[in-house]
Amino acid sequence: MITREEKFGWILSSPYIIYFVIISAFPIIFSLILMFMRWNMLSSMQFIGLQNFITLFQDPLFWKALLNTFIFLIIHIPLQICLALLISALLNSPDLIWKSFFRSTFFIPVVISGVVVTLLWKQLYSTETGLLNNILLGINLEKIPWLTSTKVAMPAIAIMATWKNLGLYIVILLAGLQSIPRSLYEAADIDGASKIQQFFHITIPMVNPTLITVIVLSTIGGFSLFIEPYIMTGGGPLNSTLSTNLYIYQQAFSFYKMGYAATLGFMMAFVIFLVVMLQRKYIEREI
Amino acid sequence: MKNKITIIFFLTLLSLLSCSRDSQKEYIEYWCASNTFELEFAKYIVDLWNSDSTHRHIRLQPIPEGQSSEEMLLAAIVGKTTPDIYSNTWPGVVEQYREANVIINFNQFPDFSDYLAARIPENLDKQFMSSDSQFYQFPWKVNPILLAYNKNILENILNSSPPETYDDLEKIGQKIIDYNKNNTMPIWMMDPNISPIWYQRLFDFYPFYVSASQGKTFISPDKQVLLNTSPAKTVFNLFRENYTNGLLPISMFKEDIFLLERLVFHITGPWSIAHYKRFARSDFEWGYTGIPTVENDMLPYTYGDTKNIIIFKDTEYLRECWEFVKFMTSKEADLKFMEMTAQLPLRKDLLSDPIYSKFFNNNPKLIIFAKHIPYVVGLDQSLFLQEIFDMISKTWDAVVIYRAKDLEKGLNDLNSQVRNQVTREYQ
Repeated sequence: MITREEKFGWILSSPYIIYFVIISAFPIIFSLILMFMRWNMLSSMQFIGLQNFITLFQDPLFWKALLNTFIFLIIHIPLQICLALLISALLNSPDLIWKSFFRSTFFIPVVISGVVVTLLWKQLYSTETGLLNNILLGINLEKIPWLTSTKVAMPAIAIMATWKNLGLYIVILLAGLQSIPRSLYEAADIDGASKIQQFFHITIPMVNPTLITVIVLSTIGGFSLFIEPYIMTGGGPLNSTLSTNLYIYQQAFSFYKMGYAATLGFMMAFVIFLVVMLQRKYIEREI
Repeated sequence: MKNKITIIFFLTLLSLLSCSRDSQKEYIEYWCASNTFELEFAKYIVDLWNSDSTHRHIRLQPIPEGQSSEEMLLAAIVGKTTPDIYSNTWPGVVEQYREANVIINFNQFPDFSDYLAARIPENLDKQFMSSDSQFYQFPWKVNPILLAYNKNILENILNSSPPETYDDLEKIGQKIIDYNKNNTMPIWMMDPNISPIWYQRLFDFYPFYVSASQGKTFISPDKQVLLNTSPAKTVFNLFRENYTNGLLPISMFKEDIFLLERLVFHITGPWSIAHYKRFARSDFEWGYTGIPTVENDMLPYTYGDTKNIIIFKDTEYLRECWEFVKFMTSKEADLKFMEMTAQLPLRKDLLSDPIYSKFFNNNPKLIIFAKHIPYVVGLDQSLFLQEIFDMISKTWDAVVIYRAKDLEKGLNDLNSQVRNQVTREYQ
């Protein structure tokens, strides 16, 4: 027999339960079923056993997309973390004037629509008419094929993504920095530690939990790379900016291979889980 | 009391739900394209239809906004919220809808064949026929893809006339190279979109391919794939050489570089007329010419980019839907369509019927597009057309733009990939 109190508890939690079932549980279970099906949304589903997994392991484009995503992460995460840490340390400095202005300025790109930012950068990166190459030509340097060279396109996207997301991580790290007691720096000053020594021996260890959060968030965010290559390059040149999410999108909504797209999605969820676990295992120990 | 309120609440909810699903719809739902001009035409034609009280009432709605109309239709099909009629269907997806059994066969109407034969050029009907030789789409409008050219650059700077053949194009290319040697601001021959998205190849590779093949698509009637034959090689080679010679920019542009006078030609359809009229400088002069042919005396084939009408199977008013399709594709309606949208209906009598002559006198730039209607080529009927064009696009990227693959090998590999896809489809 359910008590009146329990009933009330169920009523109060029902909005979340309904939300969870519709938005999370159902799609996950449906995707799990889809992994063993062939379905183009128009015709009825057809059970194909493990065929989607066999296709996945034999699909060179998926592995290429995965490699591209890792290349993006290798450039994007260190760049983002280092810049965010450096800027947040500067913004935390007691000597800095116009703090609020700088904090807002760095956060503006975060609140601008990703599509708008991407379109703007696409224009900046244009080989023939872009502002960046006009500047390079102005100082007698060669034009760079920012989005049309297999070697440069992914780093160019990583720079843009870093610019877009930097503000968020600055805010998170700034909160971490502000929670460090000033007395620690005062004691270090008295002991004669330089500013650099204070940064490496007080700031970094004290901001460690925040840094791990930022790395994990940044990694997960990096794996969801989609808008930038979708709008800027379409995955080109020669598939060098094809990210896993863009590939999944193409399989699902250009070619209507829902079963295969679900399999790719689960594979990616597994890869992200693995990477985050490894990060936690090693970074928590190192920092 | 509480129990009574609960029962009443659930009964009301149930009745509302049942109303929304099961009650018979008293009207025909028609979705049109969401661009302003077509929406205005649709409103006009629906109002005209509805003004006759003997007609079944039509409720008009532009297709919901989304990434593409195909995606929105797919969502509607999955969600079982399709309209009765949709009028902007890309023929490349019709085969999928037919296979899914969601659209009706127009051949079931006794007067369909005669009506179609009276409307569209004789040789064009087969391109809209599904693999079971039936029509699941009604051919409505057509956008022949041609070359727009900058008159000032072509005639005054390059001292040339619009190219008719590949040789003419090559000569113009040489003049552009010479011009660029002496000028800091280069001009280009054309600006094909370098994005590897499948549909971009409908506007560079495909018009040139159907011109080179003289109207043949790349899957033959006996399901042979022809992507490693002479027409494909010729087109791939033409663009590959032009990229290598710097005549085509390997760059993405946000601005319209044709209007900025950096291009001699731009591959486009009749929709560009309104765009150029609106955005070009007052002294900007442009014209249109057909896709150059490989040799002299070849016919001016091109891709038609047609958009057609489909009727969904769930409709309760099949006969009335067909009557409305005929109503909106009548001679008078087609004239109004041209006047309001500056697009061309797919008709064989556009340049011969006096009813349209005043319109073409007022819109002379559209005449060349109308002249190309008998030579427009559609698409192969395949369930996997997007995937096939994606394969072409990836090969185009590797062979033509970036020269990462040998032409011969690239086309042989492409042909095998497409053949495997086609073989799987027809097994």
